[in-house]
Amino acid sequence: MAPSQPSVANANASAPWLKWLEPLVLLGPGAVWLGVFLILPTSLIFIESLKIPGQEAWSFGNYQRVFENIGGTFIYLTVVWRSFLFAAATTTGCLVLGFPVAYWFALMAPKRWRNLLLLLFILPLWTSSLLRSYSWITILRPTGVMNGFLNLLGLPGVNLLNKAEGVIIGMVYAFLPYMVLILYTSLEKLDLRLLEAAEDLGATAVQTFWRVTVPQVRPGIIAGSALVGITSFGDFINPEVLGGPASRTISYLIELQFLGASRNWGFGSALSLVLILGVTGVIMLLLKYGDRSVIADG
Amino acid sequence: MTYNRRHLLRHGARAAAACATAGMLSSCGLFESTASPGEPSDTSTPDTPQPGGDRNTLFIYGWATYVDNTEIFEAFTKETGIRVVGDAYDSNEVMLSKLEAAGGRAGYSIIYPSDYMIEQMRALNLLVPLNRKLLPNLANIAPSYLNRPYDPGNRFSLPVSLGSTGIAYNVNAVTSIIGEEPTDWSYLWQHRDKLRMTLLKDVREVMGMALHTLGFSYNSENDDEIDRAFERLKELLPAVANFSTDAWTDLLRAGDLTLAMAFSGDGIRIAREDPNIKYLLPASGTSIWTDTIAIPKGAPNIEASHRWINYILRPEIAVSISDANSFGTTNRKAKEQLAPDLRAIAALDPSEAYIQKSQSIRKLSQSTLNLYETYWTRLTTGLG
Repeated sequence: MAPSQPSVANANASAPWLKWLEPLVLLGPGAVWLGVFLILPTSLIFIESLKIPGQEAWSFGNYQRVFENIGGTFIYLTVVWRSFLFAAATTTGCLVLGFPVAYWFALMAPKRWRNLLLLLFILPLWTSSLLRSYSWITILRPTGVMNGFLNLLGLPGVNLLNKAEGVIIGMVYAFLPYMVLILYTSLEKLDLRLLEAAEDLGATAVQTFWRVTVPQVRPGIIAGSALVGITSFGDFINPEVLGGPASRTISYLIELQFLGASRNWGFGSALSLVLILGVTGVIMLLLKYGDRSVIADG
Repeated sequence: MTYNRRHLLRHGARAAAACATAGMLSSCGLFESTASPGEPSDTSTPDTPQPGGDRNTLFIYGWATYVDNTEIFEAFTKETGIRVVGDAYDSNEVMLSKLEAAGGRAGYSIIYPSDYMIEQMRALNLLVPLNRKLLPNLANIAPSYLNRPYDPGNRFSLPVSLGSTGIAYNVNAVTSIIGEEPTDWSYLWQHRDKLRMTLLKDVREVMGMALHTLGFSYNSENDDEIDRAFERLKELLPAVANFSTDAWTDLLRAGDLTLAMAFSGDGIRIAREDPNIKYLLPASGTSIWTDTIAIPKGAPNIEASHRWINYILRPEIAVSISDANSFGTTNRKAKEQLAPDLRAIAALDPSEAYIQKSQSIRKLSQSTLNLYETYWTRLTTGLG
């Protein structure tokens, strides 16, 4: 129970141990949560990653394997790089599609409709991500909805299922609402007087956008991109459901180590840590350059 | 939507497994026991047995088609008073991982591993020996399926279903695109520039098939042979839309795929539903396998487990199981009672001559499995 402000002052004077009781009460549950659900499991993964089947001694051999060159290709690195490219493409797609929407919601849509519009936009999140990914099969398959539509217009059909394009479409669709929500909270705080000032001083619309609007929402853009980038980097469902051999990502490699025929949990754990470290790197960049308040809001 | 519940369930399970492996729930092995049937002491529903009352609930862990057959569950409960709860897995390896991670406390009473998995689980000491005195219905199993190399003397397992790996194809699509229907595996290579196919998401089946077409054993441990099989599969890669065990069914029916490498259960099930789909046993032979029933270590009530095994060895129950999963049955009395549409499919129960041409997948050494897995990673990530 947190004491009210004046009593804190009194307590501090009389009993110094109360000074750290308060942070203990406030931070304790979070610390236990983090300890049990983050630090402990990650440590277990780390310990597992040092084991090599058939070897007694612990070693970093599993990490060396990540850099292995087999048949002239760095297969594991290539798949990690592919996952990165997919994440980058997904983030760019979400940003390009999401910014205008968030801009319109925050600045141009009638005020009383805003909440409803936002709600409608995030409504798809209420259904299972697996179902949403599956429904894209119906659209993208060669005999699917999209090609039916293209044929109707007299255009030749395309096949995007089991291809990288299909995976990226699925991921952009899956993560767009997050991007829009974060950009919206950022754009809502936009100082409109600066836009008026820019106009008064003769800036064109394009100049105003790039030199006044974008710098103000930069933290939101970074936060949104980081969230989408991180989530899509480790995404499993979309590459699995919509992808094919050439669009498998790091999550597939990890699955293969745990549930494949050779069941090499050590190597799978090493790959998991590579994923975790990669994501941690992005978060550190975000903390350095991003707007913390936006992360907290998002 | 044409996707059925089982379909989603399987993928849901797979996705959940993958999330777990991706590190998000990586400790699930550790915390699993809280959610697993190991502690059926959940008191939220009145009919749940009380702690220590495990004897009255049987937790069965099997392929989806074995555990969503609630009819035979209910009949068993009516007869014995033992409640039956089913839980599904979509690969032998998922089942093995879960049992290993739970360290004998998973709480399952019955599992349905495939034959090679029995070999592996025996080596890991994960199975309970069967007590034949409690299994009078054992006599219903055709003797030719007993005492196979994966479990000499059937100490730990009994064969339940007969399966094979074959080719499911869309008749209209192959006749219009290629002009002739497939008869053997070689068809895949002959027409690879026109075909759009899926291969199983199973390293041993796919590599074994390629080894077999080269005249080698499904269980080759020879580096050179395995390398040649890999090179041969690489030739096929441009025509391979995906490596998938069961996500091909709707695409094949719609003609988005021309053919799919398939397990007989799925292939025959689709062929029963859609006259335009055929399931083929390749002429040169294939991999033939058996799903077995066994009791995992740590089963809370061994006697109830035996009662269940004896129950499913009855002819009428074997018929129901076969009807549900579209596999052949090992039960000699059940064979004549199978549904007519099922019996009409020759591939359900291959002839002895065909079985001679075919092979069984056996357990391999860890180093060989690692080699298979490296090639498999290259194939399934399209990196060649």
